[in-house]
Amino acid sequence: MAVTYEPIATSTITGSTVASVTFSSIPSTYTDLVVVIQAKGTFAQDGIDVTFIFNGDNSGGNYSVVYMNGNGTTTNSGRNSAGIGYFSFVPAGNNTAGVYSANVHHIMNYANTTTYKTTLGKISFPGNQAGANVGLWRSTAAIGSIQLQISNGSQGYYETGSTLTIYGIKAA
Amino acid sequence: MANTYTAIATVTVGSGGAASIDFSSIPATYTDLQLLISTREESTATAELFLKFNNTTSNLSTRWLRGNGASVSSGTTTNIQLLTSSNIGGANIFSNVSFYIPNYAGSNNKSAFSDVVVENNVTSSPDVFQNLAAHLWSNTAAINQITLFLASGDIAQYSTATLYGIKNS
Repeated sequence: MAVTYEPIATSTITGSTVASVTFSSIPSTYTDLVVVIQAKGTFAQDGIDVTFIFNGDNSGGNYSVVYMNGNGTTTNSGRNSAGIGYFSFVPAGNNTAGVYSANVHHIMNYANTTTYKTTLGKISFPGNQAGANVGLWRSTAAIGSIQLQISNGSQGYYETGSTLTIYGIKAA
Repeated sequence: MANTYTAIATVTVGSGGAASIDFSSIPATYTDLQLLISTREESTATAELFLKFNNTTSNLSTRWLRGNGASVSSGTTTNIQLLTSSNIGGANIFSNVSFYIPNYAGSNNKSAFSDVVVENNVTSSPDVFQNLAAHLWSNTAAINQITLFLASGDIAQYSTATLYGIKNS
């Protein structure tokens, strides 16, 4: 039987100064990608974004996201069209030690060269919020690399023990 | 290449229903676990489906976001609450649940995400919703057992649950 769901690459943070993880040379032979982020940041605040940067496109203006979340008391929905790929949200330095996110992001049809790329994110930030979002990268290029950066790259690092993994899913 | 996404075990509830669905002796050889569940409870109560790890209900918490077609709400519980369909909305309707646990055998506290949906084509009912939730088991032990159970009553016949192991290498 053909293997449908395959790990492409994984990164487990062992040091204390890693602010960004890049998965490059992503083969175009899959249909969809799944990015699993079990992570925590070191920056002294309550939660921090993980920025998605596709194919090194960090020029701004090509990303937007619509999100909804609940913090256990209130609900919230909004849109960020500032051009940054703030697609994920994880615990940070002011959150409970030893508690990491359980976020899963699906990127359907990532290798096509006709459409913009859409992500579907599920956010599990224990003790803070549960939510979902839809992200958009306005480029028709096939995704060949994904950089997962803590915030804007200057707000701390990934906590040791954080794990980021990309899987490929084949439709046939 | 080795198979990454492997079915570890599946349970289908037989005639008469079952008080619980249990997955025990879960091997520590995978990276993540995913549990896909289709359940129903044969009563007219809004059924609360719960999950526990390693046969304990201690140190569990949930933070949820829920929409029912009329309003949206958010809350917290001190357990892992998944919800399920019941007889309020009619016969033969089962919930769908996806429950994902990354790094289930690691040495950190265990975070998880669940996505629960029930639709019954009834315009006004407490038994229709989409629920997203962040769960936490504040325990550094490896997960080797997962149990599903209701607040009351039995899980209905034809309910199913399948546990998959996912390897990242």
